[in-house]
Formats: sequence, structure tokens, C-alpha cells
Amino acid sequence: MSDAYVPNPITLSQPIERLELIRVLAPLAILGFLSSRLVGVEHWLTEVGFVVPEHPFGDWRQPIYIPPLPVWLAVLVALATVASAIAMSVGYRTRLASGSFAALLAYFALADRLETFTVNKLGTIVAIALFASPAGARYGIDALRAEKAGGPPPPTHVSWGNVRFFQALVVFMYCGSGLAKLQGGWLTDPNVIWSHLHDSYQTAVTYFAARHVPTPAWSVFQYVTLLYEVGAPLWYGLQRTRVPALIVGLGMHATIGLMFGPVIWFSLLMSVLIVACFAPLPRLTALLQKIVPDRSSAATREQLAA
Amino acid sequence: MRVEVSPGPPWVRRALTVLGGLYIAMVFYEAIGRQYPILYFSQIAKLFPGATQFVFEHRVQGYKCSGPPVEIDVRPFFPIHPDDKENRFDRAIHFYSTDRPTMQALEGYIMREYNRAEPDKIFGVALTRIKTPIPAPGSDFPRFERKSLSEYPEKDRDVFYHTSNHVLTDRCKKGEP
Repeated sequence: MSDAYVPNPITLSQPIERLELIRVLAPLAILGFLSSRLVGVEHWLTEVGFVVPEHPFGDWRQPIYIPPLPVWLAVLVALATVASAIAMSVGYRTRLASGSFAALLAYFALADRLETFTVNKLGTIVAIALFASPAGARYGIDALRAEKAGGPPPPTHVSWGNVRFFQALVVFMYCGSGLAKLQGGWLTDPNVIWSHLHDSYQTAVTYFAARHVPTPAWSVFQYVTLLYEVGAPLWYGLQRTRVPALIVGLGMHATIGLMFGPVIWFSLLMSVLIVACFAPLPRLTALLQKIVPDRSSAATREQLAA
Repeated sequence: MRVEVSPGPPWVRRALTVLGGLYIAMVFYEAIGRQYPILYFSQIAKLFPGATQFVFEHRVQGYKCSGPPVEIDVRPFFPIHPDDKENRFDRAIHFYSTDRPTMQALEGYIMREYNRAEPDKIFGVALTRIKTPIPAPGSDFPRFERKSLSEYPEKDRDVFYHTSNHVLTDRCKKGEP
């Protein structure tokens, strides 16, 4: 019997690229979602627009009441949100930027139920997780400045929890969503997706597809979605099914984004998360280096080899 | 290989690991169980959980002191996503249609915005929910478009909130909306 040390694969250090891709792209997807709100911020966070009144005994829809802001402050909040999201994405003062972005997203979600959707609730958690991680140590302005200052070679990996959190979040979110769909009749009613093609989310693509795609194809799409979501821990857990699952997931989110109008930002955010969490590392690194040229990578390899 | 660890002392990192695990468990629980306000940030996974039988839309009519009610296009008063169901008017009704204080606040807001620009004031409102049945699978159907209230069949319309008669009479007597 061998007594050689066998590391736990769950707690192995993870490639930093997985974390940095989320840091670069997720704030932009969240900002895209917020953009239509930020442009009309006075109708969102101030009494210029409609504001839900305070419920003195609390309210199940919204855990706390935060009064509306004066217009000048709302404008400052909007500007701070844009600045912190962009700073986070380019890796400039990443810790400060991600902390500020997380705090602002949390404020938005708590201050106003009407403009709170999955993107800004999930976005808040993504920003908090990035704030608590070493995100920004590579592929950004902070990393370049550290390199110029003659610091230690830039990191190649991060401790396991920084990446495993996002991976577990995505697969259990899918799985929970799939089980909720099972409870809601996705297995017994073959026309669930068809029923959602007719309201104000409808795009030109939706209308074209609804009129030209044969009805049974919508049921096939429905059952593929259900199978993908319920089985997500398995599909992404097994190496053999990971890439096919990624392709199905990206296809599903692309379809949702094209067919349900404003839901495109949610689709983009989820696509960023699944690519960052599960794409094969060489392709992920190539993608990241296309977005953010990493001058330190060659130097790092040389220094680490030495 | 050079590993960058998260900032903070080891006990903070361990605590964050536990919190992260708890959060993921709450997301999962929220999707398949009841929703609790305390788990607000975990309510992210229950998306499109079932089929819908109807397309829901909402319309407003304004009451003047004489004459029939007039339909009001409220989209200019709710300029964020005015043409889809993510606008604040539809969202307010989605969440709060049975909550009278919020509906009264909505009534007050619509009257304020309408009367600001219109010389012929309104003194109350009626909010109508339109329920258009989903077409049968495979059938031909028109592209979604906004129509005026009168273009929908009577049977698909439901007035779920309106200014009460005595309030309307009082406002008209005083001449103050």
C-alpha cells in the first residue's frame, strides 16, 4: 500500500485566469443591465419617479426600506457605479473598485424592488466574491504597475475557494432552477417555452422563430433545458461531459438573449460565469489574452522557471 | 506555480468559505422551497418556473369630473424600459397590485404627472389588467404590439383598482385633484 500524498482535487489551487475573466467581463455585463436604469436614474432612485411607499411593519417583497435620494446624490451614485465597474474591469485599484461596486449593487437591490432582477442580486454576490478574492493580481493595470515596481513574479494560481465558489454557485443555481421547473410543470406540459413567446419581451427573432420553428422543436428545447439544468452538477462535474455542457449552456443563453429582449444581460452574465468556470484552460487563457494583453505572462514563466 | 491567496488572515478566509457554502445552499433552497425576505439575495434561481396561460398587460384610465374616463398612456411617466414589462408601472402592479397603500401612491403619482402637463385635469384613476390568452401551439398569431384599452375584448379586461366614488366626488367638489 502506497503512503504517497494524494491531494484533494477539490482543494487544489486554481488557474488565476478563471477568476480574472470573471473580474474583466462580469462587471461589464452588470453595467450593461444597469445602463438603461442609470441613464434615467432620477426616475429610479429619487422622488422624480414613482417610489414604493414605506411599509411601517416591513414587507415580504423587500427586506428593508431605504428612502429615495436627492437628484444630485443619485447622479453621483450613478457616476460612481459606472466608474467602479469600469475600474474593476480594467483592474485599476481592483480592491477598492470591487468593494465600491458591491456596495452600490447591494444598495440598488435593497433600495428599490421594482428595478431589482436576478442580474443585480447575483451581480452583488459576484462583486462581493471578487472583492474577497485576489482578483486583479493579473491581467490588469494593478498587475502592470506591480510588475513595473519590480514586485514578485505575478501569480499563476489562486487558492481553491476563489474559483470553486463560482463553479459551485453556477451548477447549484442551475440545478435549483431545474428543480423549480420540475415543480412548475416543465415535465408534464410540453408547451412551457411556447407560452413565454408572446409578451412584451418578444423580439423580432422570437416572432420569426415562433412562426417558423415546428412546434415539437420547442418541446425538445424545453426538455434539453430541463435536463441541462437539473443535471448541471453532473454535467459540469464529469470531465467528459463538461465541454458538451458548456456548449449547450452557451447555446441556451444565446437563445434566451436573442428571444427575450432585456434578458440579454442575464444571459451574458451567465455565459461569462460558465465560460470562466468551465472552459478548457488553454482556450480560456487565449480568450483572456485577446481581451487583456498580459505582458507579464512571458516574464512570469521565465522567472518561475529560473 | 505561484499561488495568490485571498486577502485577510486564515480565519477570515475560512469564515468566507463557510459563508460562500451557506449562500449557495440558500440559493438552492430558495429555488425549490418558500421564499423568505431574509434570503433576498438568494432569490436568483427560480426563473420561468412554469407555463403562463395569459399575456398580462396593464392600462390606466383617468376620471374627470364630467364625461367618460379617458385612457392615459403612462409610458412617458415611467421612462425606464417604457415598452416592455420591466418598466416601473408594470413592476409596481406585479408586486403590489393587492397592496392598497402602494396602489394609492401609484394613483397619486400618475395624477401628478398627468395634471402637470394637461389643462383638463383628472381627479382619479382606474387600473385595468388585460389577460390575453396564449395562442394554441403552432397557430398563427400577430406580433406583440401595444394597443389601446378599447381594442381588447371586454372579457379580457379586469379593473383591479379605482379611485372610490366618494373620494372622486370630494376631489371634484374641492376642485383639487
